[in-house]
Amino acid sequence: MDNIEVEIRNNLYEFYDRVAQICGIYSERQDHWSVIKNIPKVWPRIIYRINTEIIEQKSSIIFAEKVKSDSYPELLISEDENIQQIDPFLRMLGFCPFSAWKGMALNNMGEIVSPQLPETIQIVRCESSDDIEQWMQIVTSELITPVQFDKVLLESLIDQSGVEVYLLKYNGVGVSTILVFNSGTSTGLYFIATKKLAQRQGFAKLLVQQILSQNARKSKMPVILHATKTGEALYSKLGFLPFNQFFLYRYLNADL
Amino acid sequence: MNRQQIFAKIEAIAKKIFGDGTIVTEETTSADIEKWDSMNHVILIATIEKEFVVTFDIMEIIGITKFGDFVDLIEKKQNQCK
Repeated sequence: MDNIEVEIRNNLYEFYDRVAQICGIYSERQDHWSVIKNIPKVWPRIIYRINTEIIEQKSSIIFAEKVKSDSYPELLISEDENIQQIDPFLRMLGFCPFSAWKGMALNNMGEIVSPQLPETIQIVRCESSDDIEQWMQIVTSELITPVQFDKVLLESLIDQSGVEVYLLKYNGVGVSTILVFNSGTSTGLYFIATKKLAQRQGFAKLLVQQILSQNARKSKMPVILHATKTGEALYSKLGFLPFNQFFLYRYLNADL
Repeated sequence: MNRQQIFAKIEAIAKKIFGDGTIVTEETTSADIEKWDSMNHVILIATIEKEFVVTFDIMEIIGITKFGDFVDLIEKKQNQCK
């Protein structure tokens, strides 16, 4: 897995590009950053693909004006994009870091063991309106609050090749979620979440194991994900290794 | 300013952001307070930085999980200034 850090970064950026493109929401790729501007209170509204050129005089003025006029609430930057240099500039503009993700990749696809599912558990590809609704509710409450996932966006994603959305059900009720994005050079796992009352019971682990085992039969591409601090230990147990870190910022004056 | 005084100030800030009825101890984490989402997290950081006239660096901010972490950081910064 050469340049896995780049792959971990690019899969995420391509996923954002894809989201913007298929949903017809406003997006823009500038020389030194990309943005998605969605409607207020709806994921995603984000600035990403930032590089150090952004702090050079001409770019920094354009960027500052853009941020001020459009009020983007969220920004993502990778540590390998010279975060230490860019951070003071972002803080000065009114952004504040609030979370970090660890870019992780699966080291050995051969080690994936997928336990047999008990009768009480089903893993379904989200297609019905009810499954989509349950998936959205879990992702919204556990991962992206105070913004929410848009139903039209999710339905559009589900119709795309390279995107698969799954829901793990316990006794017929959705408890865990995942979205799989195939960029062509890697498989990215996104929106891995479990309903609060069902957490710490192994549902997310089971769901990821099943997806990995299914993926291993179809592809030899690396599997990557971006883990929160709490998720890191689980993914390490599944064989994922940590690589680069990503930082999330919020714009303090943003109109959510 | 001693640890208790630092915590008292942080407690007042937290109650202003999350509501008067919020239970705030050094061990209280974001998971204990429903209103502690990403937006309120950055408001909390910015308010504490302003109140104590300090700046947390990115790695310090990412490491914050409970109110006691703020107290630790402010104590550390006070000691660095002595």
